[in-house]
Amino acid sequence: MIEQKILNLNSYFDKQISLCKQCNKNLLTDERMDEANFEKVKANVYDIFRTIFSVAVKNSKGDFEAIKRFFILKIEQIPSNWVIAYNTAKQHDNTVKMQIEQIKLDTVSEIKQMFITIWEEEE
Amino acid sequence: MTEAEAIHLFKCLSDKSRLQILKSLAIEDMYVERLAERLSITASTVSFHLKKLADAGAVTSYKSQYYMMYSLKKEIFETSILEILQEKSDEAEVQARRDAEYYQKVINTFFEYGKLKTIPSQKKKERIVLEVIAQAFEFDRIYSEREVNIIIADFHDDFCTIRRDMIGERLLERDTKGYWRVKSEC
Repeated sequence: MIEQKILNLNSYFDKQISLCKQCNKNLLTDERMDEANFEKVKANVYDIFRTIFSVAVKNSKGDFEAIKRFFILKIEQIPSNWVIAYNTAKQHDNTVKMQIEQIKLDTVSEIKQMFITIWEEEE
Repeated sequence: MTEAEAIHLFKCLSDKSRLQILKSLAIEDMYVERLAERLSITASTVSFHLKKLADAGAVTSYKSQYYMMYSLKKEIFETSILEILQEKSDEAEVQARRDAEYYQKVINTFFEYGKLKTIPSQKKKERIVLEVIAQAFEFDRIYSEREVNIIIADFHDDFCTIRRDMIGERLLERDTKGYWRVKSEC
């Protein structure tokens, strides 16, 4: 049961990362450099949380609740700096920086939602 | 438009989404959501591109009722590429300043209280020193050799060498009537 959820989450991360990479490639071909870079930013966020999820699984030795606790803790802790960076950028009317921080925050929010959905879903 | 501004603008334009935004604004002024809809990209991405375009001086904005409208800065796009290329280069100014600094450094090294301490062995430096001495001569006046020697002797005792080198560097010319200062071509 837990193995299946781990599998689902890992395949979700892999799928999202490869999707971002594909989008990045397409956008670069289409001469949309900045948007291509946004896809790279998103892929990095997925990669960070894929790694964190692996650590959670490894350290929690199959404990369903412990994995959830660790992952949720990290997914709330890590973006707090991104919120600060976003607010600072907003104060300075730095739309470029705001956009990048917003993409990171949107991606992390999507990851959290997907984690809860997969982790909490009935077998 | 300065060279830095031109580079900033060209960099900004080398993006398909931004070019599409400008094409839309060439039709009429628009607000973010309308551009997002037309170009099928998110409103935040449109804002991002508009900010870059505004920073490059390509677009401007104004408030209209509830909306922030964006418009093309037409005067920027009416500038021809040739006009941009004909602008004086910032780099040329930097180079001219560096040259002036070098010139002054050589003068400071070789002159003391208006006297030439020693004749530089490097051709480039000697040329600078000779140019300074040449300034003591008036244009459009014929000098006898004795007058030339006296003027040069105010700078350095070896007036023969300096007089000969000034002729060699075409700072002075001579004929049977005497010597005169050559006008610079630039």
